[in-house]
Amino acid sequence: MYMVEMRNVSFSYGERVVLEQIQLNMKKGAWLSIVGENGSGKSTLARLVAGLLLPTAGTLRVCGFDTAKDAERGALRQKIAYVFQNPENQIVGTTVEEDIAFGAENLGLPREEILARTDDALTRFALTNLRRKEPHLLSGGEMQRTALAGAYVMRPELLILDEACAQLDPQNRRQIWEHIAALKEETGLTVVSVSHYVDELRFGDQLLFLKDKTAEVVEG
Amino acid sequence: MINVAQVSVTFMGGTPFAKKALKEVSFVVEEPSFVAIAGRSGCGKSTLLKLIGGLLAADCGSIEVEGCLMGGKQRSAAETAALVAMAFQNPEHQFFAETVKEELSFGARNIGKSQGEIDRAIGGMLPLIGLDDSYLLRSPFQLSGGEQRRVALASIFLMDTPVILLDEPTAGLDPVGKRRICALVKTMQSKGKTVLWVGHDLPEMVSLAQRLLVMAEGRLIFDGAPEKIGADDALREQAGLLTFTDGFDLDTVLRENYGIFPDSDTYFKLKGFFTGEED
Repeated sequence: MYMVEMRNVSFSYGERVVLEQIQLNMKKGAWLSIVGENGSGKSTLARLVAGLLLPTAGTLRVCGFDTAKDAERGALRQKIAYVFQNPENQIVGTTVEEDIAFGAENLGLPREEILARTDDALTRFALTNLRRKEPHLLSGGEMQRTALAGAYVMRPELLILDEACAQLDPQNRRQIWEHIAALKEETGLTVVSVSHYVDELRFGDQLLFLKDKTAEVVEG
Repeated sequence: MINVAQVSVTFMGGTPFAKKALKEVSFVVEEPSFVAIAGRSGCGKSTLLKLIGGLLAADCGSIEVEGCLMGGKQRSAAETAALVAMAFQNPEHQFFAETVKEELSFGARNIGKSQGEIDRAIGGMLPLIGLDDSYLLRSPFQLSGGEQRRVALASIFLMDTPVILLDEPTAGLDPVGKRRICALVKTMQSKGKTVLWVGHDLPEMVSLAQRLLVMAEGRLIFDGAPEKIGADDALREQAGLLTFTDGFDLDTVLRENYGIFPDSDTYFKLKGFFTGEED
């Protein structure tokens, strides 16, 4: 079974066709880098994978679930996590630790498990000394690490990064990517990342280049 | 043009969260020029721009733009806006008008320019941002990310202020989009404007700016020619400008990660894309 499987997937916003007949087989544990111009449909593709948008034609299965089916989409949401370009869009807690715990709470996990996972995430993303800080007082890099930690506590099988580091300086970007690479190495996480930076491509092993509504997929 | 003298700012002063955002920052920009400002996330770059733009007041020190003291109440907001215009990060997030034309006109009209004058200026601006008349009646919300950014910046430039402040104007854009913005800003500077550009991309700033300011933890730690920072690893580290790749170039990454060799069509397409060469 593929982690992400696209068969002739097309997508339009109203009359405007964004993606046409995309084919993709992505294996479990792979890292797919999506590149293409602004407006080429990279974020649309990432949102389709997350089930936040539905294909207008074709079929899309993620973690074995058909994203077009309501019942299956609910199950899919428990297996994936999404980190947006601007962490402020997804930070909801009044402290760093509350924010990180939010996703785990939503999964309905026992309290001890939530606390254990939150502690683990704080350590992994070097946030322990900031745990009681209010998120709006964090720097950009700290905020993005918080968003990532919040994704990690859900123990996703698939992590989707939509230009997750576009607003950070090079050193903060590197730190984030190294955290994710380490996580993938340890847990066999599957990653889909949208990026404009050459240096971020060096973590991937499968490349999807979007141009003129179609995709060229290259496997390393 | 700009005189920043001994400026300090503390956020949330008097509370346990007090944070000194700027510490005794001083510099002068005498001639119209292109000045880049670098530093790690959180070092005070955006705060400095907001002070110069008159959007924040300093706790101590003074800021003059074109001989006028900023941050006080001696001038109206419109008078300040006629001196200095600022584009925030992601300026397109502030779109509100129904058409591109209205979006482009709004700022200029607010500082008292006539619609006739604005229309002529828009006519001259469109080719510079790579758009044509057909865009004017479209909704700005339906443009691509790169087009939105260019419209947002053009609306700032159309205010025709002597000083322009840009906070990471190329963040989030693809290589072609970045190149277009750089060319556009260069054109503005050649028209005698002073441009302050906050960014993280060292090659981009070296190619554009005549002068580079580097900030760290609220202080100005370097003020000089952009080329000079390239050789100084310690300074680049402080500025958050060390390259990410440690010697990984596009060819190596494409070959080693994806098995794409320089003889293939895919290679040429990707190379063109990443170097910002349009077809």
